[in-house]
Amino acid sequence: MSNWVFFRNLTWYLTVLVLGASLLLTLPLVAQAQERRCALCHAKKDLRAKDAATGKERSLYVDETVFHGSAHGKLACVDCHLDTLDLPHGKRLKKVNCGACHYRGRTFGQGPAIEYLLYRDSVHAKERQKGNMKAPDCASCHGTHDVLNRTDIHSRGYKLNIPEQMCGKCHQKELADWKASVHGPATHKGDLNLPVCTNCHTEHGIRRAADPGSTVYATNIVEMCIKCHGDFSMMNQYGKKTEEVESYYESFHGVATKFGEKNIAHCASCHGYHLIKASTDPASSINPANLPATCGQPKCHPGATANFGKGKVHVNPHSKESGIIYWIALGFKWLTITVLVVLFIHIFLDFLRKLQEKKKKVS
Amino acid sequence: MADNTGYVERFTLSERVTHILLFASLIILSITGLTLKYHESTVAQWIIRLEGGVLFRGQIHRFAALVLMATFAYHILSVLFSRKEHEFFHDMILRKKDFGCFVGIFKYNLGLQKEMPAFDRFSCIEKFQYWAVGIGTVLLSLSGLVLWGETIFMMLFPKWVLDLNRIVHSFEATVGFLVLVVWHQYNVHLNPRVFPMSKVWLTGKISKEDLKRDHPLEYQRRFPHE
Repeated sequence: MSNWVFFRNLTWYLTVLVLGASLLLTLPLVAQAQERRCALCHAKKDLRAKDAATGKERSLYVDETVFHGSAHGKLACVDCHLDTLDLPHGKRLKKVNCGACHYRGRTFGQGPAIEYLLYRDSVHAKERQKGNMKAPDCASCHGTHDVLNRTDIHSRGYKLNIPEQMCGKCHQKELADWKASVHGPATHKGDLNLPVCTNCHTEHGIRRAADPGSTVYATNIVEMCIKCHGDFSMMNQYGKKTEEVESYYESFHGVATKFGEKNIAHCASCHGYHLIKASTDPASSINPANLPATCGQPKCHPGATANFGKGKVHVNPHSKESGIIYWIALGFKWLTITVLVVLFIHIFLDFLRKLQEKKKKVS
Repeated sequence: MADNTGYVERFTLSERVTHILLFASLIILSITGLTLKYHESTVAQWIIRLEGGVLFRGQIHRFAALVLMATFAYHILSVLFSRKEHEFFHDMILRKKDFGCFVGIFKYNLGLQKEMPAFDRFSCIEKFQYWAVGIGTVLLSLSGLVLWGETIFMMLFPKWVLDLNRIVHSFEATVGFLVLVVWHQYNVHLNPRVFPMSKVWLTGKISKEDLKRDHPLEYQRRFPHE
């Protein structure tokens, strides 16, 4: 009896074990088989279809090697293409919603992702909401099946690739200006300190320059520039100083900007935006020869002459290099101190004397 | 000249009005100017907000400067065309002994000298203050006008002159402010003898007792028989 029971139980155990093991072993095969089923069509290089949005025919080929090498290479097709209920899918699939994984409350992978929220308020998202489909969504910048981690030098999101492979695809004039500027790769030659588009405009939450929330809005842009130009150790690497920042904040322009005035010269008003050039460059807006035109903009100092270029612009009265300005400032400083000391000595002595007189009078 | 109360006239109505216009405009100029100079301090930022922002602060400053310049012009005209104020100016002219009297004052206060130097209508301290304010007003008005019309000025002069001008305007004003606020306030209002305030600037009258003590030479001139 007991033998029979034992034997029956063992049969059950073995059945469950074998079934379970085979199921576990076949699941990846099932998944792979599903992917193989996608590949049945999408591995064909000549698979093309008409795009409903643009009306143009485009390739639907997916290079599997590229996909498996991408940041998402371990995912299955259906992990992103969630609306594939049946294969082959009959209807056109929806655009992939990256926010299905890249959301703020994410607890897996790289943790919380706020890019979606930032993008939602950006000029690009707002343009798309208005119906301008030329404005980019995630895939426009990051690509689709070939997304790479930004630390990969072949990634579009790798710092040095951003201008050419992301923003510059649409913003071609800005790209050309930036390339010709002191901030461009020609001067920096692979240096990772160089500012690319995203350093000033931010990455996902890009806003119009006229939007007060923008990092390049008139009253915010100085803060943007001084992230590097106010960084002593970074500027030191290039033999530059940071005193321009202090002297700007001491100037009438700087004070007014600090108090939120918008129609006052900030860094870019004189130095330009994308096409910033060294003052020694004859084409630079701050070359002494061009200063009359730069300072003489109709809203600023119309009628400016060559005198605007005579003397240091970012003058620092506390630096000996400022010459006479330094010495006069120093002289005044000591005059003020001397006057104060003499006045207080006089007041102190006079006070004691008059107090004495008063006491005498009372007594 | 003396009325029954024992008070004699020290300043005419016109002089008192000039004084009020002078200090009113200087106070406004100081507040609007110093807050710009020390714009980094929280208090200054708070005041600038009260002044209606950093640009409107400038408008107030320039308006007060116009009042100051008008007051200055009025004073010069009065000195030229009014007998009383001509006398006032005459009494203010610096004499040789005014330069040495500071030593006398220090010595007296230290107890090294028994008598205070004898003054006429204006003590050397008052004379120096008058001239400091006068010269300061000229300097600050000129440098202020340069800052006001900076573009026009820079059509004639290079930029570094404008920078220098700004330094002069800012520091000269600070020195002037300190002298007036610290020294003048102490000398006329805050010293133990008259604290909390001398009323001469309002009434224009000084008691004969004070006149005799502080301005003995004038007293002798005006009351030779007492």
